Amino acid sequence: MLKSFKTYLAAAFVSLSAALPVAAQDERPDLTVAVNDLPGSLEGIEEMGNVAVRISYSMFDSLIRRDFLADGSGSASKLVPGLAESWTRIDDRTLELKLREGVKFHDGSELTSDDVVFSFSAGRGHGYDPLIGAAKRFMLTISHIEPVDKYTVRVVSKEPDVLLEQRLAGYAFWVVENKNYMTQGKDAFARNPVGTGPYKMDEWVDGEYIRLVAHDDYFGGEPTAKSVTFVQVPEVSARIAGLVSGEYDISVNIPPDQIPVVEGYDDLKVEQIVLDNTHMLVFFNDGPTAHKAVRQALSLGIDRDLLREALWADKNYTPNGHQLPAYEMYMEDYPDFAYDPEKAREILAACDCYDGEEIVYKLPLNYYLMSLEAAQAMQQMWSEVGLNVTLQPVENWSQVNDPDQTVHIRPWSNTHRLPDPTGSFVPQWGKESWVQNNNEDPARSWKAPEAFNDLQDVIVTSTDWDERQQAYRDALDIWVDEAPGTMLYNPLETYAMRRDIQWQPYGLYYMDLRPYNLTFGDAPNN
Amino acid sequence: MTWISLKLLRALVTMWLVLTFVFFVLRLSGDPTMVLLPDDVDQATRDFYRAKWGLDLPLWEQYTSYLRALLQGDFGVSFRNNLDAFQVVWERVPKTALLGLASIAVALLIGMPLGVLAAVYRNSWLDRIVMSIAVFGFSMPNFFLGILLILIFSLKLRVLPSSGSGTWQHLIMPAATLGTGFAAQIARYTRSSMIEVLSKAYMRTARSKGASLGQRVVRHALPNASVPVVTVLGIKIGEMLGWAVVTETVFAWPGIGRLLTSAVATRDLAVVQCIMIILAFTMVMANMLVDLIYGWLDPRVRVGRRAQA
Repeated sequence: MLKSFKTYLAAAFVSLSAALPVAAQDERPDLTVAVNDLPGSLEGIEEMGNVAVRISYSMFDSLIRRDFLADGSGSASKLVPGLAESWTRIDDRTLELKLREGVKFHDGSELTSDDVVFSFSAGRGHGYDPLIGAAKRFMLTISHIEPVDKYTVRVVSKEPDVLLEQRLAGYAFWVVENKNYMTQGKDAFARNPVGTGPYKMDEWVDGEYIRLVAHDDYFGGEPTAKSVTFVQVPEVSARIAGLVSGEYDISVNIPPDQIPVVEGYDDLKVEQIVLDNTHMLVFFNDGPTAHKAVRQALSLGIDRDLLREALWADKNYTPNGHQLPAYEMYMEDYPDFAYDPEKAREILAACDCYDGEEIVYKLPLNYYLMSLEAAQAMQQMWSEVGLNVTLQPVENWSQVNDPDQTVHIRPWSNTHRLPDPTGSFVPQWGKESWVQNNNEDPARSWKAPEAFNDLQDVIVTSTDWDERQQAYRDALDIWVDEAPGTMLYNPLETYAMRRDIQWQPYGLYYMDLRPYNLTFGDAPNN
Repeated sequence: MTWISLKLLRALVTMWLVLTFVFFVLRLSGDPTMVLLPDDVDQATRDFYRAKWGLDLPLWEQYTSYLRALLQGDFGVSFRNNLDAFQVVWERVPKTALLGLASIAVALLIGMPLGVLAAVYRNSWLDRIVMSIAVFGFSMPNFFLGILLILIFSLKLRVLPSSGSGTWQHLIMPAATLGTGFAAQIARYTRSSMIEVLSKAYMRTARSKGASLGQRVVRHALPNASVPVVTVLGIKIGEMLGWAVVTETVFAWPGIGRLLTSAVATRDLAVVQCIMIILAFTMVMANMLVDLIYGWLDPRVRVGRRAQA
């Protein structure tokens, strides 16, 4: 009896000691991120809003990767190998890319050129009537993709496209697993996507959380967290409370007035980034703002320095022209948006076109952070130069755009999705933009000078960088002079987190949790 | 026509009216593509989604095809995630039901004993304290109480989780927040109803027969005083769903209330319509249930109904 008991004990000890190392193997932490909202889909080209890309960026990879950390800023635009280890231009329309060998998808299958061809196929995203329409605008220049061999593909553009490489590193060019997508179908794939990224889907509970677990075969090295759970917490106060109480490790979307609260705790810190997005105003071609002089005076009457200081603690900036420092064609010498109330008054007096008529500024509440506060401040600034602006906060965009209601100014934001004018300036203000083709009320459309639209053609089709840059500069001059709108500033995004987490945010809403950008433990200078 | 079929017919008409109202108000108050798609999206993409979601059709055509689908049990598809709207809503029902039941339990366990105490010791210091607490509980907005509880129990004491629904501890603060205001009202209704019953002749008879205070209250007064309280309960269940919208948002409780807030904000039409049908159904059923409980509590109602039939 005793002998058999001893045998049982020994067997139990052996099996325990065999099990223990397995349990002890994975000591990586579980990361919990409190987010304001969860997406409805994780199909990379269907859902590209802020709440989706912060998750999908860790699940998918692109052929070429934009290295946001190249200059340490989180907004750099250097291109580095992603799923493609190298690429060469065959001609001005064709780019040949050599894929890495041995890259594994989340389901264990190997990446081949078939997956890339399927991911960028016309039927899926950019054809005449594709399965998904949301990404078409990012893929417009793509003609087709050809497999050369198992690990080589050619991407062909419709026109010469100097930005093809940048495009492949941007929105909508995530590579998905071909067979899995076709077997599951689009809607099932959207809930359980299969990519090559460092984290893969584990569990999705609607309205509660999405949990990803480490994809240990990730080609970029073993992920540093065992799992990442994005928990939906709509209230800011609850996101901060949960961070303080230790339920969450990172909380997103922290408004500026809550930063001192977070910084009051020794074990917490904030990470901030000025977004690659600019808060704008659109001046409609209607009523008083149909006069160029009034539009110019509106722009000249805004003290942007004061707005940034009062609302953003001067931690953000206003771009000099419709461009960002990360642009390949960045013009450092391009003049800033002027604040010149004296000149604004002179312009208004000289034009003899404005006699104190009401200018209506309609803005949706709770859409852009700090937009109402900025509007109230600007209303005062405009009144000082003699412009009678009335604020009309409304609930939604349909009320802003209602053709039966008076509106002269509306807020807007432009995201710079590519470090080039074709990533923002051209689509947002060019001849195909809604600003020039207002569907709700065509009379409100900006009647852009012909020269402006001709310059757009040069920016889009020319392969000569000097010629493109000159056309860009000239187009910007016309845009600033015509003032169909103006820029206010790029907003600041704040993340609150545990002090012992080393993670840096990017200018776009991606949360990059790859091993090079997520580590745990105190940093030397913390 | 029997009493039940009349009630059912009224319920159906109520639900149809609610549905029609919500259908038109939602469509006239905002374009879903303006909310669901990024603000700088181009017109072609907007048109693609308008066509996909059937928003390019005339309003009456959208309405008739929606009603047709509904009669076949098809509640439509959520714009956000392409899932069946009924499935999206139904998944949230257990969480809201759990929160609702826990809150009602909190309300009854606190409200009824306090109301009885206040009535039995009417005009005493106990009565005044209980009623002051009731006024305070009733007046306190639940979003404020919720944030206050988070401050105390999550931030300062760090004993309860601030949001989510994973464990039973997650239920404590939302149920307390939702139940407190409700408890205050139950206490007030119980008190006034009990005062009325306590002054009845049969209560004097019970006393003269030598029944103790406890026996008189529990066996004679409380069943009679419960009828108006049950009526209030039926109405308040509907109100509570309204309050749940706020409580669920504050505590990130994944119930119908929060789904409704986000679905209205994003103009996820099929989901909002589905929730409204379920809410209308719940209200109608709660009222029917109250009517049935009346009969059980008060034999006079039962006899009256039989006479009508």
